[in-house]
Amino acid sequence: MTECANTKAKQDLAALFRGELDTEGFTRLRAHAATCGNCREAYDRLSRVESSLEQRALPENRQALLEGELFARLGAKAAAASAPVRAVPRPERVSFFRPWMGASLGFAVAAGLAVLVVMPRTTAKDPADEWTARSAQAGSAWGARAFCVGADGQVRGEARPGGTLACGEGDSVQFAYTAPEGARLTIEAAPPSGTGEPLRFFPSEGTAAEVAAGVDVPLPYSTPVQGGWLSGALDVRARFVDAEGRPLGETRLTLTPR
Amino acid sequence: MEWDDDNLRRFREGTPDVLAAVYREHAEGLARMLRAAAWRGGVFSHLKSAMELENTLLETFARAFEPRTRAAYDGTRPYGHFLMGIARNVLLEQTRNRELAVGLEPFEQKGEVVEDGPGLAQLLEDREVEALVAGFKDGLNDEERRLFELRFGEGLPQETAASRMGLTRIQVRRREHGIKTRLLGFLQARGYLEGLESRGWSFFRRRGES
Repeated sequence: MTECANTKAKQDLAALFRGELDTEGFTRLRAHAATCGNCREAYDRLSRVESSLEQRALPENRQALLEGELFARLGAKAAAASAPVRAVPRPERVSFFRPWMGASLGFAVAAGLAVLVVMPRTTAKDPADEWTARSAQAGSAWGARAFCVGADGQVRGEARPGGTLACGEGDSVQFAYTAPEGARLTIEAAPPSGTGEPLRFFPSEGTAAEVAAGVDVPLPYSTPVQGGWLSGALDVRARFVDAEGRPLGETRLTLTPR
Repeated sequence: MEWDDDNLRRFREGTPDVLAAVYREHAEGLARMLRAAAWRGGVFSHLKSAMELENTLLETFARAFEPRTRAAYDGTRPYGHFLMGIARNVLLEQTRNRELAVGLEPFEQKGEVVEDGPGLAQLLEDREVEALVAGFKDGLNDEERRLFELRFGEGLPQETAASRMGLTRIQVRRREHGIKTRLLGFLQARGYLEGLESRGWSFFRRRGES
């Protein structure tokens, strides 16, 4: 079999196994593997390893990614069906079938789930709000918001760019971003002591991760407040850069213990 | 998910969180049934490929979630059976498209026989993977082995595993990342992923990792 020269596909395969691939990357990888025997074999073999690890026919990570693909497909169908009779889609439909549906990789996190349920209500209130400024920079559409989600799944607080979010031990912090186009995103806080490793919220490791364009897209996982990492005010920065690393936008907000 | 009147109404209306709940509840079961059909071989042997199985699963749910199909579900029959009826149609259509004769029913519960030839090869490969994973696990230190057991053996979410181990979720995520990266390297070094290796390709290694 001819070896595949598509480096991106190989990186995507590794990211898939590590649980770091987003829905967009997953769709891209599957489209490539459908026509590339080498990568399809790798895809199958990695699936076999994951299945063996988890004792599942459908590894959890792939189940979550397929869910994103399924809802993207349903959304496209729904949009196509409604197009001839409705020039402007209803706001509810716009919000429900945005890429956030595909961002439910961490749906096992109950708190994350709660935000997924809550988000449509908050975003559907004012459809004209889409693509308006959500960052600290006037006129910029790039931005991130943070939510504090309690153990009972209820949202306890929200911080817009420049704002402060108080969250207590046992709660979880969930971020959502708005990006007018695909970009690379990191969200991290300077270490409380001023030295040491930054506290990374997204991605879990490595360089900035690709995110798809979208409005108020929840990140695939939340971060539990436990172990004392939130013992003082943290200056959190969400940075968007392009593929070459050029800055596109930045949001700052503050996390404090409650 | 309980099919009470409210859930059934919201399902028929296509409420996304209800559809998502149905998908999550039934995806693994459907995948298992498709895998079982694959083991029967013949016209369903293509489902041994993870990608083919996933494609069939996607197509089944996409059809199941179409408005007309949603409206056809009465909330009384087990949804899993309803879903498998759709999957059967998908498979039979795939079969027709492949211009192959249908000789087997895909979802019979009895008489599943592992075929010789390709089926046996798949079985042997599964055993090989299991042995490799067990070998890898033997080489982990105590903390790593415990994490491996909690996450993959018991299938606990990262939060619960972190709580059991007295770690933060971020720490668990990082350790798990390291274990998975090393596992890939381990498999590659033993030839399971040999065909994937290419010069200059940092597939399984990250900067700073030995």
